[in-house]
Amino acid sequence: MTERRLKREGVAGTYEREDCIVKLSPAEPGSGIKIEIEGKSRDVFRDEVFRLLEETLKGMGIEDAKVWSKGASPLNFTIIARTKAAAIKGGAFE
Amino acid sequence: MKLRRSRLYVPGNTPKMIPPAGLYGADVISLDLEDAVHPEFKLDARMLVSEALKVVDFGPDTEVTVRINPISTPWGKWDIKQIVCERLDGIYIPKVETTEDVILVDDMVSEMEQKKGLQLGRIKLFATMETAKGILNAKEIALCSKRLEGITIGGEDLTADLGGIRSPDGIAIHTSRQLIVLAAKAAGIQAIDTVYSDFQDMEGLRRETELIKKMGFDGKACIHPSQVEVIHEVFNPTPEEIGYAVRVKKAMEEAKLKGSGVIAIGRKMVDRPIMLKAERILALAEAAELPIPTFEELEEGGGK
Repeated sequence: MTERRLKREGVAGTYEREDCIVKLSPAEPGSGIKIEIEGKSRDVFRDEVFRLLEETLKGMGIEDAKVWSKGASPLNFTIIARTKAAAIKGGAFE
Repeated sequence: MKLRRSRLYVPGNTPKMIPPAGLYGADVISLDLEDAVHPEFKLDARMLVSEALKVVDFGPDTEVTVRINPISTPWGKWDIKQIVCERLDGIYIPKVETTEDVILVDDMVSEMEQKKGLQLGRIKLFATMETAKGILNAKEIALCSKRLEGITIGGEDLTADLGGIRSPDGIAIHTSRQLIVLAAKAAGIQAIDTVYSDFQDMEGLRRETELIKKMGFDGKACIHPSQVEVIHEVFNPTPEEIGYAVRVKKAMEEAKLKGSGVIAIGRKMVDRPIMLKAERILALAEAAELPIPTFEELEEGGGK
């Protein structure tokens, strides 16, 4: 897996129903993935959202990032898609 | 016969509308990356559609397609790279003006199929002409790729390009519609009509669908799930049409045994063009899983 780094903030998604916003920011090398979640998903599916965000980022080779997400009951594919889009916007593939 | 009576657009950046898209009975769904998506969200939509194609169950009989951005834009090329996958059945290419537009998409799809280990040539293409230039090139465009299974017309953009006015009688795009049907049929592919924009006007939709069916179109795009049923009602052959087609088929079989190419049913002469129409009606009825009586059943029922 090629290691990738975020170069700037990347945001994807909307506040619409069944959607979520994922905001990624660069983090110091070795600091790991720090996740903060707001919204309905916080209580009910918190662990699942954490897992998806972390897995998706690591699957792209991103080991260090600050993650902020707010969702309104998004399905898994939406969380994954928004995370990937935010990473691309954050310059991880440049 | 591949049924493409209805093609339902689904906005590509609206997560809540994607999972239920297969539930409305449309023959084709088109996840839309073009007009339904603001330029600022093109990447978001592309990734959303790409992930949805991996996991969402759109139904085994639904033809799943994506309307990409015009291939003349960087977005269009990125769309193809991202969305080509196992579940994708077809790509609608908007704003096609020349054969080169389609050939470029064809080449890119082949490259991605190869790269992703997919069956070569399985993903079909559909070209949408929505400018005067595109319409006048439709004849060549319809013939330019083996992947092409249909051509379509983009009513709103075309009307604007022509400087016409969109009206219920469709006069501004009438000739263009005829040219699309001619080009499609000459190439042996399907002709799919544009959307009817007023999704609350079901009578208007019915009238327009009846018109384009008479012109030779095989299907129509729709922007709202509620339009699917009306479009199917119009395109489905009636029990009377199916019954007549069964009688025509039987009569032609008998004529063939007698060595004749022409036979009469009642007071009507039946020849090869009528037979071809009957075959098409029966193929449509079978594909749409409509009841097809046998000749004997029709006779017993004193049928129509």
